[in-house]
Amino acid sequence: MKKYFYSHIIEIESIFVELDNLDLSDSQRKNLASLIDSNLHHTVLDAILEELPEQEKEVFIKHVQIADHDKIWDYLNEKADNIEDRIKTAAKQLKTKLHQDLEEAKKTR
Amino acid sequence: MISFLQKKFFKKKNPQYEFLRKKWTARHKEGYENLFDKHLKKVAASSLGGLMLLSTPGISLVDANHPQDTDSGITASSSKNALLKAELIDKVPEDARKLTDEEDQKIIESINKNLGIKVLAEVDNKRLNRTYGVIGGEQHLYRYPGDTVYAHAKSAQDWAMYGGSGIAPGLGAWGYFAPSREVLTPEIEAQERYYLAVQTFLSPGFSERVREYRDFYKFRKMLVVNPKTGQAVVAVIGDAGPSEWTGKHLGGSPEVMHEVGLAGGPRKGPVLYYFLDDPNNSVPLGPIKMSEEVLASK
Repeated sequence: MKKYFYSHIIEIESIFVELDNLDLSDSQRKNLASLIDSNLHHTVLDAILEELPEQEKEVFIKHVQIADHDKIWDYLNEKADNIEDRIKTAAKQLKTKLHQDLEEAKKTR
Repeated sequence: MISFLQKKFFKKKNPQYEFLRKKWTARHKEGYENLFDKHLKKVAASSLGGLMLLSTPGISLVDANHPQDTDSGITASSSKNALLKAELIDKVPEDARKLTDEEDQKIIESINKNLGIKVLAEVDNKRLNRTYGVIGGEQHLYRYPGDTVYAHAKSAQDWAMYGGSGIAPGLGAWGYFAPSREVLTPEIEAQERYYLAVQTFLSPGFSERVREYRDFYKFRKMLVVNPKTGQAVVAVIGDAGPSEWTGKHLGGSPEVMHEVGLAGGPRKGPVLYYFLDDPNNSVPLGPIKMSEEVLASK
């Protein structure tokens, strides 16, 4: 199980429900899942880095590298205001786009 | 013949999958470039930026364009416990029969030495009907009222690997793991993730002291080892079963099956299972590898 430091505050279950309605092979499920995770990761990192001053970005990246989730949150809460809300908002926007993509995909049958 | 060749070489593409793959791959690339251009240009001047990008989930999408078909939804995790496997090879019989006390003792010594933990066949005069038997794949369990199989996934890849196993229609032997989603802790989540169903009802003395045995088994930690690979996982007893007529002796959650390398194909195989002696609750649930002291001494 791969758990990211933001996994507990982001809810994307509804995406899985939609994907389960598509006729996908195991390998196709895995590939799409991998793309969802990477898109979400980029979105979250972008939302965080937007809030950090230039000199802090490298420090944050070091924390992400070490993957100590408690330390990442301690750091973020100290350096950025309302960071949890910003991450949630960015993720929600991505989720909306993913749902739109899934709706479009259904029409391609 | 033509039909066979057509099927083999001209596979019909899944238009929905292709649509999403193209769209999400493009977004992935755009997101990556955006992240780099906006934030990481300076950071990437050092090796740090490169290191970070390597850790990005999904970054190595080498097979996104040419997915390889696999039969099983879950793949076997790779073994890091080759030395344990080598030690067990002449101690564990080929057929999954009941072990003698002497056989148990030799196996327990090997496990304790190699994994740096302490396992036991018997605790407080209580033991299961077996310590070696056939494990079969179980479904997820409801953790709280209103739980869904989708809520079990921590990431999309988690869903892709384990979501297909489904969720059992009934509750586990101990009921819900938590009264509501709000009070679900990471520790409770791990109990469902790494749970076993064992034949508590067949353990000697169970029928005479049901309540005492029930309390004893409830969420008790166990170690499961695949002797053919050395793969090992720490799990809790989360359910009672399977029935004797199934020919199986215990069941494992989808994650347990993955960690012992039995998630593919028939989703069953012989494993060793012992109580874990962990009075301070210091051994985390999940896969367990050879201890560093052991590896260093080899």
